[in-house]
Amino acid sequence: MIKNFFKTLIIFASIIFLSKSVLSENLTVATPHDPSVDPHWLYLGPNAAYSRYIFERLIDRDENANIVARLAESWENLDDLTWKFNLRKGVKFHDGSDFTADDVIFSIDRIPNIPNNPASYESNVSMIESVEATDSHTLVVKTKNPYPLLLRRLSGVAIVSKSNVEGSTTEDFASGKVAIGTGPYKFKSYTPGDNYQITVNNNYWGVKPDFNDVTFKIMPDGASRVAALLAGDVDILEGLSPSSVPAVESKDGFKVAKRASARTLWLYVDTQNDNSPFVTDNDGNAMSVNPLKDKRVRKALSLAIDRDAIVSKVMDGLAEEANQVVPKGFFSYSENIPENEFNINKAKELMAEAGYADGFGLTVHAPNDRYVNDDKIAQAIAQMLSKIGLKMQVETMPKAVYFGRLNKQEFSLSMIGWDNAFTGSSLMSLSAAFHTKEEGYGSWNAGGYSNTAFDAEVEKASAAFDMQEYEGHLKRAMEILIAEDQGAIPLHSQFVTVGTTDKVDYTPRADEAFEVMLVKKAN
Amino acid sequence: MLIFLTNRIIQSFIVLLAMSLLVFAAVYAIGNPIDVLINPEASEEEKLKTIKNLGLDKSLFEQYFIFLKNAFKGELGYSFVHNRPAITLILERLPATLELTISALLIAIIFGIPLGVIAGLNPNNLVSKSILATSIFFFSLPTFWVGLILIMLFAVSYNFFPSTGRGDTIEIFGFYFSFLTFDGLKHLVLPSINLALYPLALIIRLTFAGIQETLPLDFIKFAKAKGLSRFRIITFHLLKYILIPIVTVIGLQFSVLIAFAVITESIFAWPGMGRLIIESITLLDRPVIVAYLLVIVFIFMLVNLIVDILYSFLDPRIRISDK
Repeated sequence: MIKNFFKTLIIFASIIFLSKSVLSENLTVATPHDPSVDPHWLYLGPNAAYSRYIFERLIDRDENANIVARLAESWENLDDLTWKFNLRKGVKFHDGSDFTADDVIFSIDRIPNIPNNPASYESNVSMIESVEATDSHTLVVKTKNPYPLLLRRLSGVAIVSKSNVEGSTTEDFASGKVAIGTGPYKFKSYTPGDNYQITVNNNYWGVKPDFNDVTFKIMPDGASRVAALLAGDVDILEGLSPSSVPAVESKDGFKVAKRASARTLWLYVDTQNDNSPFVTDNDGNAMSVNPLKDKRVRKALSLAIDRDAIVSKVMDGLAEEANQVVPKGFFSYSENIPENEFNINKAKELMAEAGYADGFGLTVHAPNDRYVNDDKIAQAIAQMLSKIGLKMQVETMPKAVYFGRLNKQEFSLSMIGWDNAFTGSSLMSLSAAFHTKEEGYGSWNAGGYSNTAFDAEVEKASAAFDMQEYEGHLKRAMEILIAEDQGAIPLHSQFVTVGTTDKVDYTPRADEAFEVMLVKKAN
Repeated sequence: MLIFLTNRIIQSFIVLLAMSLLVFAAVYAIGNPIDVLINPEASEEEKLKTIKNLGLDKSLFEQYFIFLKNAFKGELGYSFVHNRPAITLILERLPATLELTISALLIAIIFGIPLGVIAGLNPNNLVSKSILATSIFFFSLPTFWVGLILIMLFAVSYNFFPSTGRGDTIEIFGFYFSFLTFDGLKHLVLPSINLALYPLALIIRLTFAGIQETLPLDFIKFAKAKGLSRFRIITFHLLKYILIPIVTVIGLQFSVLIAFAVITESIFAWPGMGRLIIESITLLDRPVIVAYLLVIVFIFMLVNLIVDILYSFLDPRIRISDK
């Protein structure tokens, strides 16, 4: 009797023990984002990040924004317009079918042809003239113009299975029916607004991730995510606000993973309009000239901003000062641009020299739900600028309203944060945000900056195949923009912060995307 | 009764139509969804193409008439964000919200009416005073704060309940309900308490006030004089008399809770309609915003109709007449 009792006890104990060890194979993530399971639907940062689990690209970007080979094993330029890709052999989709060149061609074709997609991945394939398969695992891609950035672009093209996806809709992905890729994880289930579950792909060709089953709990409220972590309901949380960092770090058994991201915040200055919409004289009347067109005034604005205070006080130390529109040490960062100077007297002198010793009225605009502490940063800047005699006002608004108005050049001084990880260089920000508005350039030039010497450098950079030449032109362009013209006022790079229990280790990505494969079991 | 119903339906239809125009114009005024959704590197050309594809280049009235035309066919448009019919998205989330609001309302009724009666019958003793004082707190404390305190207390400090989310579900007629599983119930407790506090306080105060007003009335004195038991007077005569305003408020509260469970749903990561609407507003997902508001208006009207019909059962003097 007693013997039997012990036997059962041992069995029970071992069951409990076993189930515990199985449990540690699981990972629960608290995330603010609902996924799009269709990797070609709605090009938003979180969706692109989610698509990495089930689907792969020919070439991807790693956590440091460098290029890594995935479904393409190697590639070469046959000439300036032609690229040859050798695809990885023996790779299988989750349903057991072989991955071939046809799947790549199908995926590239599908992207621009999904009807009514408000945010298409099309910009990643629009430069492609033709794609041909010379055999089942060799592709020849021709571009319309010389396009050195093609590899970076392909990191935004997820490969789906032609045999499954042909004729299917986005809804078939959300139901899991055709959510079939080659990635390290397979689709398990998706309950919109509640949770998304994936399970490990045992036949994955690459390095197997540390966790077998992953559940994303979709929680929009930041404080609730922290509570869920502290309550032990989740192992890791995405989107930790700086103000919650001390609360997590100070608790036993929890930690925060952080790094500077490739996103740099800067202020657009209206250098184009003769009557800038939010510049007034000291009495609030419209001015006949736009003082912001005067380089000395722009320099004075930059001199008057105490970035050190923004980083330490507003950002709680979770940011890094920026003196150009890419972070320090990033590819194409120019060492020739001097460090930021905070000097009110010098700023006042410049203002007086420009004829605005008594200042003028200026409004700074910022979103209030897009970047870390965006509204508080705008308030701090306004306060700092008022010290050199400007009559400052602050207007912040939800991103839903902000970006539309920004793009219509409705502001005089306005905030933006640009992620440089996609190109791994300053190219995208310089060409989209500062090149004169014309075909293929300047689509986000909200300050109306225009300088032919700068434009020429950017154009040369975007056609350069040689990396050194490419970087050289970008550095020169940045020097013209910042050191010579002060066409923008750089602020800082924000940190990516992720809270975890001490049972896991996480390495954040420079592009701020979350990636389960980077979550490791702690030793 | 039949004429009453047809009148009501015609009225409701006009309200829905007016509402759809208002909502449509308001959503149109917020901004262009493409500015929020499109990826920053998209070229001007690509942007114009997208705007054209989605029909956003048309004037407000053209867009509205296209919407109306489709609405009559029963289509309220496809979500920009999820690429699925807006109405499907909303109905998918409806069970979660209904579950939450009904359990909150049940808590409010089951505790509110007896507590209100206790306080109303003996307004001067200590128990009654503390019931009334507490109800003032329930009125005035902000929901998001109470929600976080509940989580911190019952989930973080003492692991009684899971902090957030919805538990396991069971499928009934194609909809998923969580209140039939143990795990689901465990997840339901904290959010429904959080949501129940306001209606609970309201019902306590209403019952209290009703009893205070009714006790001195002649028919109660008469019932007492007749020698009826105290229990029968309270349950049969008194409660039935004061129930009319309470039923009105419960009906109104039910619709209000459905529409404004947003905060509780966000804090407890409850996958209901309220969260859907908040997320849709931040991404300017127009079809979902419009469809959601129409669904809410519809629910309000339906609940009010039911309340009107209930009156006639509670009070014989209120008869739905066909005039």
